[in-house]
Amino acid sequence: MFKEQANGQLYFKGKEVTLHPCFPSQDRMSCISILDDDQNEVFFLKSLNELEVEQQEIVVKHLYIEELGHEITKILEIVEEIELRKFLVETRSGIATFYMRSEEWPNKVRDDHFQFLDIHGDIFYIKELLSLDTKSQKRVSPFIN
Amino acid sequence: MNKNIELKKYFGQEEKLPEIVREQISEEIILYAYSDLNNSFHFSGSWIVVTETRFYLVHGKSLKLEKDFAINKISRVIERKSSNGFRLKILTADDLPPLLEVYYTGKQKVMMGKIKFLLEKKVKGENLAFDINPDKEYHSNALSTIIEVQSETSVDDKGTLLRLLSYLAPYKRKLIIGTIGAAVSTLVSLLPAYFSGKIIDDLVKPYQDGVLPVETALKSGWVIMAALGATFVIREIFSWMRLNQMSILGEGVARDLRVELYAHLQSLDMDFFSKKQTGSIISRVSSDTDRVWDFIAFGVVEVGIALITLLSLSAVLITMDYRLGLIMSVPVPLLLFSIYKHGEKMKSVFLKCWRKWANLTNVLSDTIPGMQVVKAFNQHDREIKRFNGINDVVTDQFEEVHQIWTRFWPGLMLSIHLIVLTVWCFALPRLFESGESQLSAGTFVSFLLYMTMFTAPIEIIGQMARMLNRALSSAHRIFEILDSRAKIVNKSEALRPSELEGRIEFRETTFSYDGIRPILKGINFNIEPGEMIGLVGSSGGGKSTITKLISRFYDAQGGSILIDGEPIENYDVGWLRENIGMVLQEPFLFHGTIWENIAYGLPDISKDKIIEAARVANAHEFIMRFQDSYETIIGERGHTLSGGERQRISIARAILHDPKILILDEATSAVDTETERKIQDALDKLVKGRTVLAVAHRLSTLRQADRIFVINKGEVAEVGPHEELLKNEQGHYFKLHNMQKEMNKNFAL
Ligand SMILES: Nc1ncnc2c1ncn2[C@@H]1O[C@H](COP(=O)(O)OP(=O)(O)OP(=O)(O)O)[C@@H](O)[C@H]1O
Ligand SMILES: [Mg+2]
Repeated sequence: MFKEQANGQLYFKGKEVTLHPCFPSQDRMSCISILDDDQNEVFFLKSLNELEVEQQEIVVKHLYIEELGHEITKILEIVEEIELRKFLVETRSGIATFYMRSEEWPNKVRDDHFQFLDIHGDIFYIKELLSLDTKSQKRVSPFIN
Repeated sequence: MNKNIELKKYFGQEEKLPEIVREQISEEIILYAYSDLNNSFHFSGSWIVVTETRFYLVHGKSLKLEKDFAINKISRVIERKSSNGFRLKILTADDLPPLLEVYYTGKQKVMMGKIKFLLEKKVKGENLAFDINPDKEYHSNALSTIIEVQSETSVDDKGTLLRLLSYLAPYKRKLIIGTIGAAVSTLVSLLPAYFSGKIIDDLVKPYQDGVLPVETALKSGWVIMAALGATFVIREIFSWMRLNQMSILGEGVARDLRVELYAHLQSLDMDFFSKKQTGSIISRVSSDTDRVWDFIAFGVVEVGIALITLLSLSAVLITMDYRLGLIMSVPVPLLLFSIYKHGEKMKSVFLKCWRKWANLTNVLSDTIPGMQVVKAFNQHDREIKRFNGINDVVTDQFEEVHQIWTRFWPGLMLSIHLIVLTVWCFALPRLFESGESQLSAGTFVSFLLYMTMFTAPIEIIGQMARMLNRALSSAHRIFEILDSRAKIVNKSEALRPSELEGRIEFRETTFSYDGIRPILKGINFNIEPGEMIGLVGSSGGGKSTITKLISRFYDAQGGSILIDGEPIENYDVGWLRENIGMVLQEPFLFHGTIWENIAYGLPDISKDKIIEAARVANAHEFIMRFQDSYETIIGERGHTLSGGERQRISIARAILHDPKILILDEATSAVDTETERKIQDALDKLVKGRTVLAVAHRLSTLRQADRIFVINKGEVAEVGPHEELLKNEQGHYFKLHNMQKEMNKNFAL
């Protein structure tokens, strides 16, 4: 059913498709809508278990499940600017700057896991607050506690 | 677009494509973009450049060409989003791997979207309809989101402060009186302590030493008392002068700002309003100007007074007795610093409070308008629990605030007392000494009194930073609006002919909202005066856009629009809009009575004209059914009326203005058949003697139209009277008509 074309595109029953999880941040693995080029739903996948292992692998690859955003390992600086808050951070993928609106706050996903949504839509996250160094913890504390 | 906003400062990204890259590319560059992720989604950089025939990828650091290929090899371009960023896939044949994948964060998305659009056009063998400047595109698109949330002006506190102070200019007299008041009342405040010392040193002591007879002492004493009384009176008079003049002055500045802001808002284009949130604009006119008032009326002066007090106190103390004076004044900067530190700490705690407070108000603004739902689902217990939970969190947070400040201020006071005590310790032995270093009792008393005056100014200066920050950010938000410029303005000799005939002509008109994605692609038509034109076509085709161009809410980028044979830009914008009546799909009514809404813009119109217009609009009947007839107050945006009623009021409004060109954008959508018929009748009466453009989805609405334009994807696909269009069985109109006939048949069953 699912097949990856040589150009890297995903095909379903001979039609080029894209995968759209209904709950992209909570649960990417189930309730996946499969849309064709015109955004028509050609198939709905309630659970990956409905598929054979080989098929599952293809789907997982195109769901980008391994990606959660950029993991913050150190908070270098938080600067208040007009209407904006600038975060200068070190992530597993390098140093980065991102911005949030002054009146928007990081999301507490689980106990110690916080998600920062940048104004451009980029996702940054702290996996475990307590595993950050104390300086970083102190810097970010007003915004999450 | 303001050049001062730097990409480098915001994203650490170059302001434009480096020269070295340009030199490596021989063809003219059409567009370029920056890709800020590598293929494993790590932050890095490379440039992608599109020219007439080729596509280039250039390494961001070494600026060496990494890859380039001919655009005609591209078959498709796809953009995919994941949590770590976006990828643009440039594909060639289906059975070959992609030519290139480009990775980037959301910052680059707008610009990449344009690259994608350009490539797609080129794949189809087309070109952009208008010229673009790649540097400008790159710069403004990268910053578009920041500019949207922040401002168009660059952030420069000093400039903002000076500019704010320049608003004081018309109030020089008040400012001078206020400043004199502040200065005099402050300096006079220093006198009572001095007099007290005088009484002791010059009267009490000499009397006790038997040098001064009691009569003389008492007499001089009364003189000093009188002087003391006079100081108090003088001080309060000058203090009244200052408070009175400064608060009136502050109010004046705030009023001037509001006047300027509101007038300026009226001059701005629709473009501005579609980009900004209404709430944010409103708060600039209301609460931001209020904060500025607060700052000018009190902030500036309070801080000034505090500084004068501290400096003059120190000066007085040091001249009175330099040793004690120094003990008292030297630690002052230290105290100020500790207050500043405390302020910083409070800032971060207050931030937490603010956040939690926002949660609380969110629950309120969520549930109170939604009370019906809460009740319908019997959820009040759950809502109460939710509210109480958040309320507790807020309370806990405020407790932390109170813990911090209640600890700090007594601590600070204690340090001040310790300084005083130190002064005492040094002073005490000297009171009993004799000779050079002896301290007179009077000086000591004056000292004691002066020392109590030290605390208040220190406190005020401690709050200065916060106050200044708040006022500056408000001022900045105000100036941002004042600095936005309208693009649609009158020419110096704008035409205002005595009459408009109503001839409209589009010649190869092209238009795009964002300067890239074309919405109108070369529209041509001629509308004669008095003609009724129906505009039909699929959703998003550009019908409303055409009407917006006619009333000049936007200017076309290419081609021209002629009204009565004259380019639209040559007319006075106000005159043009007076002569064009618009009934919008979502008619906007203001809070007020029905007749005020109908007569909007024509305050002197006679009552019977209003009623006549309402009759023509078929609104009279339902208006009379209301308790207060024409004086019925319709709530904000007319929410107490039904959709069809609102529409008829706005039709009446358009009729009353008697425009030569009438634009009806879906005036009969979303109403029942009965109402549609009534509106229809109203329109039939209305179209006589004017040029009418009616947008409609229901073709039945357009039975009166002389000609129908079918607009499809930004082009005029078909033109002609109803019958003629129906003859073309391959045409859009034929299909539309048949579809609607089918639907009607189904409903008829
Ligand atoms: N203010 C705007 N900024 C950017 N794009 C806009 C704006 N207004 C409309 N558009 C876009 O322009 C295109 C044409 O819109 P328009 O309103 O002219 O369509 P329409 O033919 O009136 O459609 P409908 O029949 O649904 O009213 C749409 O794709 C729309 O997304
Ligand atoms: Mg429309």
